[in-house]
Amino acid sequence: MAKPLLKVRGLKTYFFTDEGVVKAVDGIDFDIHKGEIFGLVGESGCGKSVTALSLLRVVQSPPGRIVDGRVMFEGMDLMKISEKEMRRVRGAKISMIFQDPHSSLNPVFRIGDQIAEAIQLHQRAVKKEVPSKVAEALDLVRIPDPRDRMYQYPHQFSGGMKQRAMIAMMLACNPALLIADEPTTAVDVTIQVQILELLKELREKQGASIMLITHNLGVIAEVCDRVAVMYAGNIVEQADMASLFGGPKHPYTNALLGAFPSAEKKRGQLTVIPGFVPSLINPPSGCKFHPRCPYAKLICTEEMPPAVTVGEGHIVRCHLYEGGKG
Amino acid sequence: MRSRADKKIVEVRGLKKYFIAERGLFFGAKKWVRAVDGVDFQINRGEIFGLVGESGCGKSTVGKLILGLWKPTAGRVYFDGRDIAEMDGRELRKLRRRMSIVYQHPYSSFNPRMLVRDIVGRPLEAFEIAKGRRKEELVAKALQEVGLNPEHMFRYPHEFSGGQQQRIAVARVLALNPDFVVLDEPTSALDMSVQAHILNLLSHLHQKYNFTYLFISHDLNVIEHISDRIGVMYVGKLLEVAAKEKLYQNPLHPYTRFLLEAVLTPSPKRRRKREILKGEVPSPINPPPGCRFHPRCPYAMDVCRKQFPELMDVGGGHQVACHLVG
Amino acid sequence: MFTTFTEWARKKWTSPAARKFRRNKLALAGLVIVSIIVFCAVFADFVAPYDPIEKVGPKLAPPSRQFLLGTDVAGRDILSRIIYGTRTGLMIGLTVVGLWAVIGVPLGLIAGYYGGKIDYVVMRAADSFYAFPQLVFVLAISGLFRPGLDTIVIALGIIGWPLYARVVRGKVLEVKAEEYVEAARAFGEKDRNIIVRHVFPNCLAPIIVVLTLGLPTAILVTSALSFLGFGVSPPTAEWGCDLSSARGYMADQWWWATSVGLAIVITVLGFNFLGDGLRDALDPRLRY
Repeated sequence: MAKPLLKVRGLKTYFFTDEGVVKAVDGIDFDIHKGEIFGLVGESGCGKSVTALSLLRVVQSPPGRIVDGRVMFEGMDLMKISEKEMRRVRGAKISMIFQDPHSSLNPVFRIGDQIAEAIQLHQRAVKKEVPSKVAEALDLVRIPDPRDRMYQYPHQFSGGMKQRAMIAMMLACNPALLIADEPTTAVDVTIQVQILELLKELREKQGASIMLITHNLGVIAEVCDRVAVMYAGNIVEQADMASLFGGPKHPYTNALLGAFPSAEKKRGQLTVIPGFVPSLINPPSGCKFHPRCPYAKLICTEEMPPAVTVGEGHIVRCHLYEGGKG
Repeated sequence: MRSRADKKIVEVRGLKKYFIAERGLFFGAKKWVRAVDGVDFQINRGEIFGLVGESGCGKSTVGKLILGLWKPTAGRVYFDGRDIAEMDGRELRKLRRRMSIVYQHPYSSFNPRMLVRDIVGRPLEAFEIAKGRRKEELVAKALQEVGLNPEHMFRYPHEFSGGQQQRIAVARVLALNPDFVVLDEPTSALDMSVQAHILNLLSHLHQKYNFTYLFISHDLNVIEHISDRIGVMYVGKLLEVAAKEKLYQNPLHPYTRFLLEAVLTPSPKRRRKREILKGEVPSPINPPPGCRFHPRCPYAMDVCRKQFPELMDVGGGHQVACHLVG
Repeated sequence: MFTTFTEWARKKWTSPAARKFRRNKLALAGLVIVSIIVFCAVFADFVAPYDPIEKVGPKLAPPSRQFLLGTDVAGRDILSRIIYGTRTGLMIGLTVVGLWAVIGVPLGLIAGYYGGKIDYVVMRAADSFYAFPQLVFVLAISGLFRPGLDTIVIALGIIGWPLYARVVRGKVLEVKAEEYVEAARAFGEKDRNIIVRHVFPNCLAPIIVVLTLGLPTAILVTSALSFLGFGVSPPTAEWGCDLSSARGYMADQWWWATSVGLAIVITVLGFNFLGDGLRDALDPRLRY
């Protein structure tokens, strides 16, 4: 396979609070390839959002700090470069949109102005060209009547349109990697498919590489090429979409898929994971999932399982699969 | 001999609820939020009726109107054959014994200064069913039934996780043993694995105690999983009502079809191109005239712009409001 | 019972509101001042060096070791009179503020909770009373009835409740919109129980704040009235009254008026700082 666009190795981000050290991200490895949509999925508190913030080095510090790890991107280790160089990466090379478009857009500036600002910051655009570049950006995200709409204010845009304007802002800089953190969670179901369709188009037509973070398994299945499942700060399984949903190996992934409500499942028989999400300050010893795992053995309480390849591009961290067998 | 009419426990006719969006110069209103704009349906004893729709469709408002918590602007609500508008304050309060509610955010439905024992037990005192020791016994029983430790009744709600709080909310309903329960997005604020717990619990209780549920949600997967019959709402109007299987096999309303197309499930097979609905979800403040859906409907005819279609029975309890049908 | 009290106290002491309060230097200063004043008021008999009413020394003596703030025109110790003045001031102030609360709080509760016509009537009444200049009203009432401390206190009490009604009503409207209030209704709670169990406890914080801020107003107004010759009359130890007497001697025995005046200023400031601190800690969005 071609060299990955982004290589993360051993990323650890801890939060040093009064109550103790919160190990939000506790040693994760993954790759994102050019032109793919990579999904990071997990329930609340698993560390997926912190991962994204860590890549951009915008973790709230204090109390957070990236304590270990390498993030290889375009020949640099993002964890080692200076803040000045990092600023050139943020927005221009790697950009990010968040769940709530309302708070990311400034209500007193026109949409067009905000996109223009992004363009002028990151592209060397001649002043005259800017309005048409803005219209282009809005058109790219399928906002109707872009030449008129760009003179409107955020409150005149609906939730879905605001999200798309955010994507337009992200794209205006032509980044190599887009990170989208729960981009459709706050949006209606029929709008969600529009936005996901847009992301797919961006990948097809523009060759965009996207890292999609969500708790929604359905969204992952819809757009992602490869997926990583996170639990309590670790990636427990990663694979391409078909392998993960067709043949999940990790007990947590299995349980999560079993918990997903659908018409086919009988009422009252959704898979239930016993116990609670573990504390990130005092996580369980060994494999963090062991207290809730129906297959837990002695070794699971002692050692964190190593990453094992169980198929093409399919990696699991589970003692059930040691030595590559299933 | 029970007549067919006895099958209904709740019936709603011509229900409307408008809120003031903007005050006019004097005492009138300049703009109305037409949250519910003429809705008719019935809920049968012992069934789980799922009410689904996107933001602004009015489904939560319908739930509150049925419980008599809000007064309708027009229309009638019948509980067990009796018009609740004709009841005085005391009778309505007595009626509340037989109908209950579970909210989306359990924490905000609890007084944070009250112990769990009182949150669950207060209704028993308010309805003069039990107090003191007997009340505590009933509270303990209810807590056990939802899978919580009865000793926890001496704690405060903030000491519990979101899923546990929702179970306390269910216990509150259980202790009262009503006939009818409105569940207003009960799992929308919960993680997937926790949601599975709660859905299983609600299913078990429904079967054990023969409750009737009005299950309100925007999540089609959940609605698909748990409902017997489903009602689809859009901008204050009911567009289609049918038994779950019928709705899936034969969705008649174009909106329903698009809605079903927008459902995302974690299946390993990538879906071929979905039919994606264009446009935005309209606001209930200035809804489109005639059929609310016509601006986004690919089959819109002239009559659709002028007149809202009546909800019509097409056989087997399947009802649709669409000019294309009939 | 004792264990639950210490638990409650500890919970209150470590709560975020208490922590915020403790960080506020002015508020702490206010707390100290108010504590001293309350202490003086309660233990005046032990704190004051002399009896405030008896002649204990030469008239108009300057401050000395024997009489730390000097003596007044009747030979009474000024310091002792100031200390006993806290008792008088506080008692009057508390009575007035008590009246304000007793009238204003229930009216605010029902106006806010029931809304509609009741709200309209109560609020218009509040507007009317609020429009009256307090001092003028009290003087007028004094003129109509027997001038004296009782009349003053009652008149003040009747005129000052609108603020309390407004503050409570505002909080009630806020609490009414909470989901747990609607849930209480859905689960069969009667209206009056909802007010008592859910609404009122949430109103306590703003009530405490306005009470604390209202006390200095009450004290100040009654002092002003005593200064003008209404209300308290000598020989009762009361600051306004004393200030009035001291005024004539400002030229030569300036320490008399100054010390009494300072006592008033410090008291009012102390309560204001405390009240502001409480408000910032408990409910910064309090708007009157």
